[in-house]
Amino acid sequence: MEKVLEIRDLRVYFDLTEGTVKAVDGVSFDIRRGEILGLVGESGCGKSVTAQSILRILPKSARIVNGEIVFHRNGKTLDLTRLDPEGEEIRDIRGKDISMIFQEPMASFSPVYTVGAQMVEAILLHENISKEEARKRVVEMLKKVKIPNAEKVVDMYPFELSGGMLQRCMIAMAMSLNPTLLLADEPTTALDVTIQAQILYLMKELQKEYHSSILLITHDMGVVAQMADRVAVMYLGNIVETAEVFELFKNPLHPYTQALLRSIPKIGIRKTRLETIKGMVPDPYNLPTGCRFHNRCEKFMKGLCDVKEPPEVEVKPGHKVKCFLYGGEKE
Amino acid sequence: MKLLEVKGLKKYFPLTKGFFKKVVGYVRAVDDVSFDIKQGETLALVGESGCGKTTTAKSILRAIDPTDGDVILHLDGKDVNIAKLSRDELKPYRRYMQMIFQNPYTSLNPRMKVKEIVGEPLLVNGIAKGKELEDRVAELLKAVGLRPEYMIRYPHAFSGGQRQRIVIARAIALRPKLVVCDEPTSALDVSIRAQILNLLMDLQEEFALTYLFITHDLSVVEHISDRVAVMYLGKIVELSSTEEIFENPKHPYTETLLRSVPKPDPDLREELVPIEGEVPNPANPPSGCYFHPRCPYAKSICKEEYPEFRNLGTEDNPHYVACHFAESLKLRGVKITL
Repeated sequence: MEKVLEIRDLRVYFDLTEGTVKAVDGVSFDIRRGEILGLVGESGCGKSVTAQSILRILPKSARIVNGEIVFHRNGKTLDLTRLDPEGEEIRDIRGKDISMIFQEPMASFSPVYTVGAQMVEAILLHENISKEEARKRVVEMLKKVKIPNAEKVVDMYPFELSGGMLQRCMIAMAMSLNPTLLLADEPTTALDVTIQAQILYLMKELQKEYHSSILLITHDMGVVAQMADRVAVMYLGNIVETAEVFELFKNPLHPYTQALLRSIPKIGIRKTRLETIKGMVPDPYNLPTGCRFHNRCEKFMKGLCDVKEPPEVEVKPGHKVKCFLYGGEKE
Repeated sequence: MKLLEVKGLKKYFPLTKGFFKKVVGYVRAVDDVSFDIKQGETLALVGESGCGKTTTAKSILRAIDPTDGDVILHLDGKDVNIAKLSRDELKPYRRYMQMIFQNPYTSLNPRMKVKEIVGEPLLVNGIAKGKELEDRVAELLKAVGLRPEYMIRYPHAFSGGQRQRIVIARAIALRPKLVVCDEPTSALDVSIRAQILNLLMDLQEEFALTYLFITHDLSVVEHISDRVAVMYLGKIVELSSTEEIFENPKHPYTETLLRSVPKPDPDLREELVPIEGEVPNPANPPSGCYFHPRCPYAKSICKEEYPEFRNLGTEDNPHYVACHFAESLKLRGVKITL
C-alpha cells in the first residue's frame, strides 16, 4: 500500500537541568494512505512528542538527535527533520498537507478572535482566495461537522461554545484544506462519553469522505479498538508492538500489550479483582537498561532482557514486536 | 442496614446580574435527589460533567450547604441529620465522612511532608501525637501499599498513582464510615488505574468502608459498585443494582451511556452509534423530561410532563426509573459475565 509518511529511527531528546530525557528513542513506523493508525501508550511514553516532531512544533528544549521523517508529497519525498522549523517549507506543509487536532479545544483556540476568523486565517495562509470565499468555505465546513446554526457559530467566540462544539470547529479547521495526514492528539480525552462517541463517529465519516490518513494518538484502548486500522503500542520512547487492529486485540504478543489489555476494566466482564501491571513507569531520567519494560515484565529473562535491547521481529506479515520471546537474541 | 439516607436533597446556585447582583434565576445543580446507602456497600453515582454528581457529594459532606433536603447518617443506633446541623454541631461528625479527590496533583499540599499530610487528621482530632502518631502513619502507609520510609518525603517526589495512595491513606486515617470517592482514577494512567481500584476494594473489606463512588466511567462502575444511580441534569433518572442497570437498563439515557463507551474490542465496532445533541444548560432545562431533546424514543408527553421516579423492580431488588415509557421500551443493555 502507498505510504504517506515514513518515520525511521527517530530519536528526540530533551535537555533539561536534571538531565537528558530520551522521550522518543528509536521509533520507526509508516502511515499508509487512507488509514487510521492508532498510537497508544501511557502518559510520558512519547506519543505526543512523536506527533510534534512530524510538524516540527517541538518545545525549545527538545532536539531531534537522529532519524528521518519522510513525507510523500505530490510524488516527491521530503525529509521533515531537515527542514528549518521556522522556515517557509514546513509552514507551507502545516495546516495544509499535515494538520493537527489537539486534546484541549478550549486551550487551542485564541480567546480573543471569533472561531470563524481563526478558521478563515488558516485558509488564507495557504490559498489565494478572497476573504468572502474563505468565509463561505468555513461555513460549509462547519455544516459538514454538523454544527447547528453554522452561520451564527462562525461569528462566535470560543467561550460561547461547549467543548464538544469547539472540538468540531477544530476538526473543521483541520480538514478545511483537505490534508493528506491528520494528527489527532487525544482528540476526545477532554470530552464526555456521549460527546466522545459523536466526535469519533464524525472523524470516521470525514476520513471516509476525504480519504485522509489519520495518526490517532490516545491512551484509551477502547478508542483504538473502535477507530484504528492498525495500532502501534508505545512504551517509554519505543514502539514495542505494531499490528493490524483485529490481530493486536486477538493475539497481543508483547508482554506490555498483553498486560495493558488485561488491566483495563471491560464492560460486560465483571471481576472482583483487576489484573495489574506491577510497579510503575520508571523515572525518565534514569531509564532501565536493555528492554525498558524488563523490570515490570512477567516473562523477564535475567541476563538477556536487562542487558540487551531487543530488536524488532516480524512475527507474522504486518505484526512486529520488540521482545526476545519472539527471537532476536543471537544477533 | 442503612448507613446514609439522602432525602429530597437540593442545591441551587443563584444566577446574578448587574452591579447589585440581582438574582435572576437559579442553576439547579442538584434537584430533589433521594437515595440511601447500606453499610458496607458501594453506590456509584454516574453521569456526564455538569450533571451534579460532585455537588451532590459535597452537599452530603457539608463541604457546601445544601439548599434543602435531609442527609441522615446512622451511627451506632443514633441518627444525625447532617444537612440540618450548624457548623459547630457538625464538627464531631466530620470524622465519619471522608473524601478522595480526583486530581492527586492538586489535593496534596506541596509544602507538607507525607507524615504531616496523613497525620494531620489524627492530630487535629486528638487521636495520636508524637511517636504514636508516627506509628499510625506508618501503618496507614503500609495499608495503602507505600513504604513507611516515604513519610519524610514531600508530595512532589511521588508519581500520580502513589499520590493517590497518599490521598487514600489520609481519607481512611480516622476510620471513617463513609468515603466519597470523586473520580479517584480519572487522572491516572490505565496501568495504574487497576492498582488503585483493587486497593479501594481491599480497603473496603479491611476497614468495613462504605463508598459513594462518583465517576463518569461505566467500565469502572461495573467492577466496584453494588448499586448504580444514573444522574442527568441534577436528577437521578435510574437507580438499581449494577446487574440490573447494565443488563436491563430502563432509561434511554442509561442505554446511551452504555453504548457510548468505546469497547476495547474491534469486533464491536457497530456499537458506537452516537446520539445527537449535548447536555442542556442546567440554568434553563428543557420542559418535561430533561432528556427528551436527545431521546430517540421521545413522544409528545415527554415534552410536557416530568416523569415520576418509580419502582419497576421487586421489593428485594428495586429498580427505580424516571421515564414515561420505562415499562414498554425494549432497551439494549450489556450482558455481564463473571
